[in-house]
Amino acid sequence: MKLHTLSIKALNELLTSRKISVKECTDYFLDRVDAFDQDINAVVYQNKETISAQVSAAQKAIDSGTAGLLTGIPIMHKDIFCVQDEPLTCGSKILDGYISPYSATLVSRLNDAGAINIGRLNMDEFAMGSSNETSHHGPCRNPWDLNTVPGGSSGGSAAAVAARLVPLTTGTDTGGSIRQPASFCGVTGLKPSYGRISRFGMAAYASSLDQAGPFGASAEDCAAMLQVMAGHDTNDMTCSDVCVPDYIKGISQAPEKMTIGLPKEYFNGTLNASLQSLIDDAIDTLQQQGHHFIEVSLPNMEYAIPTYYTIAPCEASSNLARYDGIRYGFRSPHDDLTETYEKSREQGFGDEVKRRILLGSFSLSSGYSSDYYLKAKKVQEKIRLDYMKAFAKADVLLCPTAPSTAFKIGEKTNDPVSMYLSDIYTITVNLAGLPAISVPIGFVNQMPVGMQIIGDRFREERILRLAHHFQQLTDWHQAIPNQYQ
Amino acid sequence: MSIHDHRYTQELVSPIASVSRIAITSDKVKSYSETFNKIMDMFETMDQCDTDDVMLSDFIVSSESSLREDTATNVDITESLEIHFAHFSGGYFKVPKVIE
Repeated sequence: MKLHTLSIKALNELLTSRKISVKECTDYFLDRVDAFDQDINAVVYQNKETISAQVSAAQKAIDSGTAGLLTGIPIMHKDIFCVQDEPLTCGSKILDGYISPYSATLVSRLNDAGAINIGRLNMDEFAMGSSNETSHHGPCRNPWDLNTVPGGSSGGSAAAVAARLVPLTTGTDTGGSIRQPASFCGVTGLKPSYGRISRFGMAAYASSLDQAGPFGASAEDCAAMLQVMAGHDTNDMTCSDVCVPDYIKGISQAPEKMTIGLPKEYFNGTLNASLQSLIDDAIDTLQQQGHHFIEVSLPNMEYAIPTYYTIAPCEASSNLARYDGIRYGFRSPHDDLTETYEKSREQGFGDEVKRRILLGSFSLSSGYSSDYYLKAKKVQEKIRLDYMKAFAKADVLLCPTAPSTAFKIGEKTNDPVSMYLSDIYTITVNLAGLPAISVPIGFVNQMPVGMQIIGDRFREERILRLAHHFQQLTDWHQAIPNQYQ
Repeated sequence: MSIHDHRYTQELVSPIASVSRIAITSDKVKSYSETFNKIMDMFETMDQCDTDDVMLSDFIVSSESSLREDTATNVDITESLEIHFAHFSGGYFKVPKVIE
């Protein structure tokens, strides 16, 4: 039986009806990791000793009738989430040898739900990148073409689902790091509202923008994972106590006819014609189902990239100050304390991380902070207000996820500005703290393309419902690269 | 002063690196400066955005802070620190000698 082609619901039915055991299901996916990951380099750590205990607990829950939808389902986490007593690297040399003393809240919640954590996933160093090329573990490769990037920073999480190494993975999204790799790898990726999921135990890059979220083959699978991950946590004061709805029930209801806004700044003729054609097809598909499309405007979108690349490095320069060579992982030993700090950070951090720390320190330095950081925070507020006006007219917004398909490994590594521009369609969502989902809508030159559905704050159920409706009408989300079928 | 007036000059790279506690060799200063100025050029577009009347709002947090009881507790995490941190032993983080 090809378990890797099944939905979470179908796997759950097989497990709870005892047609397969949790061990059989887990071994099936472990075998796929062994068979395929050598070429992809998505998995950076596995602790097979802890798996058997998880398997036993999940089987016990199934046998006693207390299993939930994720019980016995193999998952993997982006290597940015702490797992107690296991290494955490964030794709960086500076965390070499560091062992987490506690687990992230979302890791604990997924464990408690019976999901089987079978490994940790590659990522851009400290989530800084759009191609998964800045990882200390080496680049992760896109299963659709191993010469191309999977996107970033959650490249390993998207690639693992694309090759169906596991049905579900976790990722983080600070400027598009779930949605852009989901688009590049032909999978579904959800960035929830800021505050929807606890950040406790998630290594910080830009704290006011970082948000965890799920990857899966479909919106329905993502909904199952979000259900467990979402909710208030007293360990994270930015984690909201807004009620978490029943996402599974929500998407299985009859689809409501929505008013869908098309931001005119995203449809100004600059998008590649092949990608535009796929977006047009997706719009037609939804229009035929009775959804109503209107034009909306996000007039300050042109300032999104500089705004993001001012705010995020400022926060990064502060957050990453803790990696000093004294308390965490890697140390370059010297007789002088200052030299120990400076050499440890010089040798422990990669080029992109150092670049963003230095940019942030510059933008926050005396005499410059009001021109950069304060200005960027004000532009961020204008972008947020633009979205509020748009959501006064539309239920959700729809636009491309990325301006291109996956690019070649090495193509943009020497041009940071060009790399930053690949986040052009995703960044405003983070600046406004909104939820958004990327769903596959077709292929250009055999490479996947994604479409983004953006919702108002804490309205994840609405974008999941529209994404699910679209995926009931199309089968792009079921496509798997030939060599992994 | 506007963003246009700022350049990330080679003279600025070393002091900024110093406050960031990152050692930078002199041969890399020029390339850092060039890259940063390309990025700064991109930042200049923000100058065109009129933000004079914009008030900053704290829209991010929508829940109340949870406060712990203000009571003293004895916590012994020495054993955990020994296990989890590479440069910890005998109850202390090891550092280079600071005082002669």
